[in-house]
Amino acid sequence: MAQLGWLIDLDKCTGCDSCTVACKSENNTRPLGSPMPFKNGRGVIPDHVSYRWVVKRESGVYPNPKLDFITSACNHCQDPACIAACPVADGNLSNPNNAIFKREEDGIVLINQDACIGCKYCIQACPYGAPQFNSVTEKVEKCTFCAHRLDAGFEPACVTTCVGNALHVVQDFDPTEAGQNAPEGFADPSLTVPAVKFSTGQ
Amino acid sequence: MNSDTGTNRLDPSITRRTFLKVSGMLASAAMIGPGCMKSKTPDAGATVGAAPRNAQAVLTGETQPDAIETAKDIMYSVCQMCHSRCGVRAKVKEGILIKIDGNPYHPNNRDVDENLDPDRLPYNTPPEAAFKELGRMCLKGQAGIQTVYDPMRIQHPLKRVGPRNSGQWQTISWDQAFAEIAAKINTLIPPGERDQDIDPALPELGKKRNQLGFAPGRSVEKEMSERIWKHAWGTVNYGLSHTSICESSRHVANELITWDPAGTKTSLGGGRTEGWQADILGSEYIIFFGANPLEADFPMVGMARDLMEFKRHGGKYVSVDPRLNNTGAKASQWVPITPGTDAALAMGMINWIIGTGSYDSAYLQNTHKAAANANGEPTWTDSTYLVGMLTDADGKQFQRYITAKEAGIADGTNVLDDDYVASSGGVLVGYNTVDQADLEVGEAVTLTIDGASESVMVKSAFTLLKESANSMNLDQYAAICDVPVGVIVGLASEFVSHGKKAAAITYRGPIKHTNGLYNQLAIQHLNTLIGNYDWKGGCTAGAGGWNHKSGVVNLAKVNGDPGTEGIRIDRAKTQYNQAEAKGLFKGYPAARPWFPLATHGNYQEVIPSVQDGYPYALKALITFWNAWPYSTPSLRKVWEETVADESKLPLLVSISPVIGEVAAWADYILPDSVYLEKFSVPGIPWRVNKGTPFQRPVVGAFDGNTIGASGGVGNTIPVNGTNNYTPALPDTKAVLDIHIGLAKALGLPGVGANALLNDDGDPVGDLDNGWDWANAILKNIANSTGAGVDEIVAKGGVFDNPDDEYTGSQLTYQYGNIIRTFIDPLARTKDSVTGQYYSGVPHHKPITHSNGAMVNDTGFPYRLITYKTVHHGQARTNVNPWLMLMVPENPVEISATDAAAMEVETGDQVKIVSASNPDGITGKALVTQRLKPGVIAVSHHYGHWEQHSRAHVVDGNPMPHDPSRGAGLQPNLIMQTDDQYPNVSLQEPVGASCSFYDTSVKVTKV
Repeated sequence: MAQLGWLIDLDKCTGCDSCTVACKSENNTRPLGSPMPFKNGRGVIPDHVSYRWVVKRESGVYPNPKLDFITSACNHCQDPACIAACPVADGNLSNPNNAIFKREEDGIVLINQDACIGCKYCIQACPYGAPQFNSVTEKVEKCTFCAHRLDAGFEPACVTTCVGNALHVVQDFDPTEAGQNAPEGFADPSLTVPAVKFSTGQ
Repeated sequence: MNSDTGTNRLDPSITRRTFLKVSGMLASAAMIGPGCMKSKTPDAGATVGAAPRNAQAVLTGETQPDAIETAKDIMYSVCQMCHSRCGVRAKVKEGILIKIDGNPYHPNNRDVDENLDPDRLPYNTPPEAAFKELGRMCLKGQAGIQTVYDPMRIQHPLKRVGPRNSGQWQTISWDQAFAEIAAKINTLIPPGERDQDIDPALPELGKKRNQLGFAPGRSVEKEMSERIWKHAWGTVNYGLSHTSICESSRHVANELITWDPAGTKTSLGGGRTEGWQADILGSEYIIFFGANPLEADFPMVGMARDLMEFKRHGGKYVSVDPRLNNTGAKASQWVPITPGTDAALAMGMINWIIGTGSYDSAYLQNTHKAAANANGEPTWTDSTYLVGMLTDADGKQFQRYITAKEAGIADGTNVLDDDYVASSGGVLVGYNTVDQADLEVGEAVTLTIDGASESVMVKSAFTLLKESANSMNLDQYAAICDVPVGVIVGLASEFVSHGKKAAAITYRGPIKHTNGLYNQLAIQHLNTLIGNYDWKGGCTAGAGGWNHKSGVVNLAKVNGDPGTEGIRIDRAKTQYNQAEAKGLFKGYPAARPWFPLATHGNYQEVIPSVQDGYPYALKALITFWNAWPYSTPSLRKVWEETVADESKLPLLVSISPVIGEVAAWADYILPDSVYLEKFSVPGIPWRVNKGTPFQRPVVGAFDGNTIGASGGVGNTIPVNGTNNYTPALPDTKAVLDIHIGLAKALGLPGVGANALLNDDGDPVGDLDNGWDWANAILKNIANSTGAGVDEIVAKGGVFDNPDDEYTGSQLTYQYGNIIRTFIDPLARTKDSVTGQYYSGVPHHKPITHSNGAMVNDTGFPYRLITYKTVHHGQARTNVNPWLMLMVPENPVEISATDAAAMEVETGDQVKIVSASNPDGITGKALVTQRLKPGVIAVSHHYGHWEQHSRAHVVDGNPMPHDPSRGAGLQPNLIMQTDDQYPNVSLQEPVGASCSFYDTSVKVTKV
C-alpha cells in the first residue's frame, strides 16, 4: 500500500493559521458559531476541536529573538501510538470497526465515532497532540487527511489554502524519511514513524 | 415582514440534516425566509470513506465534513474581511454558503508555484474547468461564512427607544424608516432652504446642504454614495471616510511625489499615484519600514506567497519595526527602530548613498519624458529643477520652483513662461531644452519676480535633498533612531547594490506619527535615488483595473445635480486663504486646524468639529461601515459627549449589519447586508497584474429565487432580469438599496425612472434597485474590457493573464511620469496652527503637538505602539468565532528587559495609563523578547464594548449576545490628545493622519 504523507516546508510557513481555519471550515469542527463556548471564563481558549493548528514558538534573546511557526496535525503514522493504546481494537490495524484504524489503501488513520468510547488513551499516547476530545460527544476526533476530498480529486483543505506554500501532500511517503529535518522538539520519529517530513530549502 | 423577531425556535427536524455552519442561524429559524435556509444536506456521501476508495462509511467526527462541490456550486465574488479585496470562491450548496476559498483567476489568490511558474488560471479557462482549481484564502476570508451567518445580525430596521445609547429599540418597517428619516432631514434642512447659505456672513461655508454628512468607514460602494450624497443631495461632506486613521499620509506623500500642477485639490493631479509597492517576485532586496506583509499589509495572501518564493529564490528582505512580528520572523534582518524615527534612518541612508555617489545619477539627470525614455527610463525626476529661496510679503522664508519667465529664459515657443528651470553646465535653461542637466546646483541668480529684479539663491531639488540629508551626520541619525551606524550603512550599501531590483516600502509604521508625512517622503526618496520605478523588481504604482464607472452608464451623472460648494466640516482639501475662506480664518493658530493638502480627508476631526460647531453645525449624519469611537484614537469620550447632545447632532443614522459602537448611539439603524450579499467593484490593491474584480451576492435571492438552490440562479445571473435582490436575512437590505430608498424618500434626483445617464447625459435606464446599478457596472466593464457580461460574472471579474506583468525588464503597467524630490505645493503651504511654512524636502522631525510643542510626557516612560495581527481585520472580525478562537484576547506585550524592571510576568494583570487618560486600560501581560525595550505593544481588534458583546433589547426582548466579543483591550482609548485642540488626538498636519504610535504610557501591575 502507498502511504500518504505530509511535506512541510517550514521556511515558508508564515504562521497565518489559514490552514487551521480551512480545516475547521472543511470539517465543521467545534466551535461552529457564537456564543463562544468558554471553559473558564473569558480570555481562555474556548472549548474546541481543531484537527490542524500552528505552533508559534519564541526563542532567543533581544535583539536576536526568533519566532518559529510549525503547522501541525495528525501524521498518520506507520506505527500509530493511538491505535496501540486504543482499547477498542481487535489487533487488525485496518479493521474499520475498531475505534481507530489505518486505511489499507493509503495509510490514513481514522477514528470511528461509532466505536470510540472516549477513554482518551489515544490522547495520552500520541506524541503529536493529534487526537482531540470533543466535550459534547465525549469522543475523540482528529485529522482525516480530508479523505473525503482526496476521494473526489481535491487536496486537503489545509494544503489548497496554504498561503506560504508550506504544506504539501506526498503521495507515496517513504517511511525512511519520517521526521526528516524535523524542528526542535519534534518527537523521536522512530517511536511511531510519522508520515511527515520537513524541508528546508535554504 | 417584521411580525416575528426571531426567538429561539429551533426546529429539531432540521438540525441533523442541515449544514451545521448555519446552526447558529437556526437558533433563530423564524427570521429565515422560506426556501432560504431550509435546504437539506444529502446525508449520503458526506461520510468519510463512503466514496469508492473505501468499502466502509465511517463517521469520523461530531459533524460531517462539507459535501464535495460540483461546478454549479461555485460562485466567484470579492472578499471584504480586510481591505485586500481578494477573490472569493464561494461554495454554495442548495442556497447555503458552506466554504470560502480563493478565486483561481484572481492575482491575489494565485500567482506562482515553487518554481516561480504561474499557477494562476489564464482568463480564458472556462469556469467548468476551473472549479477543481482553488485559490488560496486567508483565515479571515474563510471565516467570512461566520459574518454571513452571524446569529446576532440585526434582522429588521431599528428605531431608538428612550435616550441615545440606552440599548432599547423597536423594529419598524423599511417604509417607515425611510419616511421618518426623510421627514427628519426635511425638518432639519427644509427643502426650500437647502440652497440658502449656512451663514450669510460666511458664504465660504456653502449651502445648508452641507449640514448633512455621509461618513463611510470604508467606502467600497462609493460610486453609489457619491451619486446620492454628492451629486443628488449636494453636500460637500459626501464622503467623511476613514483613510486618515488608515494610511492617509502615505497616500498624500505619494501623491505629492507624483504631483501634477494641473491637478485638483481632490487628487493633486489625474493619473498620479497614492501608493507604491514592491514588485516582490522581480526583486532581490526589499526593506519594509513598519509594514507587515505577512499579517496586516494588503493583499496579505498575495504578498506572503510572493515573499516566501522570493526568499526561496535568493531574495532578502528586512523588517524595520520596533516589534518582531510574523514578517520579522521570516526576515533576513530585523531592525528594531525607535518609534517615530524612520526619517532619521532613511535620511541617514540617503546621507551615505549621496555621500558615496551610489545613486543612479544618469537617471536623476534626465530632465523630461523624452530624455528619460531615450535612456530606457519610464520615469524621470525633478532632481535638476531649480528651487528658489524666497521671502513672502510677511518676510517669511519659503521655497518654490522658479519659472522660466522669472529666469528670463522664456521665449514663448520652446520655453514657456511657467516651465521649470534647470542648470546645464552652469547656464540656466528650460528643462525641456536639454536632455540632462546639472544635479548639484546652488548659486545666486538674478530673477525677475513680480516685475522686480532681485538676486535669489537657487538650488536644484537634488541639492536640497542632499543638504537636508547632510544636516546631521550618521552618528546623530543613529542616536535618534537607535539603529547603529554600521546597520544604517549596511542597509544603504545593500540597497544600492541590486540595480533597479530593490525597493523600500512602507505601511502604517512610519506614517501614523505626527511626523509621518516626512517619514514617508524620506523613505520613498530612497527608491528615487536608485530609479526603480516601473522596473521589474522595483516600485509599482499598481496595475489597477479597467473602467467600470462610465462608457455605457456614467455612474456619477445625475440630471439635476445641484453641485457642491463650500468647506468640509473637517477642513480638508481647502486653503484657509482669502480666496477660499476669507471670513473664517482669523489668524494663527486657527480655531481648529486646516488640512489643505489632505486629499483623503480627516476622519478624526469630524466629531470634535461637530462638538465645537466649527466651522458649522452638522444637522444629520448618516454612517456606513463606521466604527468611529472604537477605531479612532482618543475619540470615545468626545464621541459620547457629542452624540449624547441631540442639539449638537440632531439626527444620527447608522447603516450596519450589527449593533457596533456607532450604531449603539444611532436614532435609526438600517440593517445592511454583509459583503457576500452585495454588488460592488471594490478594485484591486497594488499588484503588478491588472484586474477588475466583480463582487456579487452569493447567498440570498433574486426575485425570490434562492441563489444556488435548484431552480434558482447560481454561477450566472440573468442579465436582463429584474433581479430584485433579497439578502439571506430577508428584512435587511444591501447598502445600494438603502441609498436608493433614502434618495427616493427625500425626492432626490438620480434615482427612479430614466435616472441612469450615459456619458452624454442621455437617459439609458432606470435606477430602482441594486441590480440596476450592478447591471450598469457590468455593461461598463464589458465595454472597457471586451469580456462578456456573463463571463465577468462567471469568473468574478476581468483579469489579465499570468505573465502579463513584465515586458522585458520592466513592468507592463507603468506609472511613466515625473517623480518629485522637492514638493512645491507643500513648500508653499503654511501650517494653520503655527503659521510656519512646511519644508519641501524631508528631514527628521520630532513628535509634536499641533502647535509645535514637543510631546514630552514626563512620568510616562514607555512608548505605546499598536499593530494588527494576521488573525483579524479592522473593527469587525470579533464576530467570527474561528478568528477569536485563534487568540481569544489580546495581551499587553512588554519586553523582557522592562518586565524584569517592573517585576511583571506573563499572565499578570497590568494597567496602562497615559497623560490624557489616567483611568487607563487593563489587560494581561505577555513578556517577550520580540519587542524593543521601552516599547509597549497592544494590538487592535479587541476590546469592543458593542458588536453584541452586550445585550440590546428589541421590542422588549433581549437580543442574543456573546461576551467573548468584548474580550481584550483597545489601546485607542488611552492615546494622547493634542495640547492645542484637546478634543482630538495628536495628528500629522499635512496628510491628516491620526497618530497611533506617539503616546507615552505608564504600566503598573494590578
